[in-house]
Amino acid sequence: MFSLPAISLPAFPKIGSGEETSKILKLVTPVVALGISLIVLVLVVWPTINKVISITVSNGLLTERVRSLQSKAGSLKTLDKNQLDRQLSRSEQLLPSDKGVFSIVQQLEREASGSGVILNKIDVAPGSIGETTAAQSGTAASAPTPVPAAGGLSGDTINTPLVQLKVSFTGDYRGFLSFMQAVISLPRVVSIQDLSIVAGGTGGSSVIHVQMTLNAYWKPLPSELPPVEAPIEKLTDAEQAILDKVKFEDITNAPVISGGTVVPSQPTGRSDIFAPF
Amino acid sequence: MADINLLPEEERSAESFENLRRKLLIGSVGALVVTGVLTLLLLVYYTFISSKKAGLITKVEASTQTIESLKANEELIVVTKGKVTEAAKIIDSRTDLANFFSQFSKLVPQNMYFSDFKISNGKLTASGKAGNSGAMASFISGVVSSTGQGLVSNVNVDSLSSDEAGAYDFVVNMKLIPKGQS
Repeated sequence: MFSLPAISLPAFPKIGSGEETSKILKLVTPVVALGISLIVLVLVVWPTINKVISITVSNGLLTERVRSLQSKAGSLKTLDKNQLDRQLSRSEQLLPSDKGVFSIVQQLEREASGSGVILNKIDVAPGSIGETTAAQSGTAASAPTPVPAAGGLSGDTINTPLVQLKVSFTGDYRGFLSFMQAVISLPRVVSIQDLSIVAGGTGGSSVIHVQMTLNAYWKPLPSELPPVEAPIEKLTDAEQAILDKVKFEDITNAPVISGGTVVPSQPTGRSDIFAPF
Repeated sequence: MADINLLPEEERSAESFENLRRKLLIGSVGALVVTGVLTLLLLVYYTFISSKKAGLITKVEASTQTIESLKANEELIVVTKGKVTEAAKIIDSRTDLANFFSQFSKLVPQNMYFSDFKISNGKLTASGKAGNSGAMASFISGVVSSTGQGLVSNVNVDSLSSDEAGAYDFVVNMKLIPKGQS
């Protein structure tokens, strides 16, 4: 007789549906808690972090803006309006807001008679008189095109609009030097582009005939102010020195053509407008 | 020697499950607490920086209003600055011809004169008469000297011809030294 060996099966746990459910239920609480944490992180924490970053960045920019605006407001408060008016009046003499043809012609006439030279001719094409913007004019007299640096020298170019005057005069050498000095010292900024001197009048006299091209600069008023954040640029010492050299002229009550060009007082009214004066 | 585990398999499985459940519970509570604290802190900070932003915006508006009220002053300073800056640029670049003639005349000998003198585009062309060759030589030596080089450069004698009296007619041209380079 064979005796079969006894087979012992391992003891398997009993799988009862009640026990399994109880195990799952025990895990629900922590899993739900983890889920809630995850949902809060995704829906609340992450968007809030992004918002915080964006607000922090914008606060940084705002702080800078506040600083510059407060500094600008402080600077503006310290400015004296009367002094600014006087400075503007002087700067208007340096570079008028319009072509100011008649004022420069009058100044040249005055300086010529003061220097002892005889003005033979002043040749200028003023173009549109009421013009206060360089772009409106197509005439050579107010050409905003770059011209060689003042003095006719090559190098830097000046883009400031200008009126070109061709001036010819006669006089002696001393008068010529005096006139040149007077022209360069005019309140209005001018430069001599070309100069031609022919010496020798009749009989070996010391008379010289001079022709020169004079650039008289002007600058239209800006059409708009810089952005509100833009800092106030005050005058440098060198610029203040230039301004101080210009004599202050109160032009508030003087008759003007446009843009502050002062017109000298002249008697008006004629019975015959065709009769020679 | 291997450990002899006398605990039944069922009990061991239950124990490991309990361990896992406990760890999971501690982890989930920790995560909840951390998330809660983080959310609270974030919300507090968010409120703080939001109120700071509102304050900054108020300050910007107040400063902008102040600047607007002082616009007239700003217009005056902007126009003045623009004009004076431009004027300074032109004045700095222009040649003081009165001074040029004053300096140049010191280089011209007594027995010499110019009959024609032209300055155009930074170039000087002159013609004249020198009493003798020595006067001409003295003039040329003057304009190429250190003093002369402060006023002109590229000196070129275009023509030089004498007459029967020994006087010389000449034509010279040279470049004016731009301001700031002399």
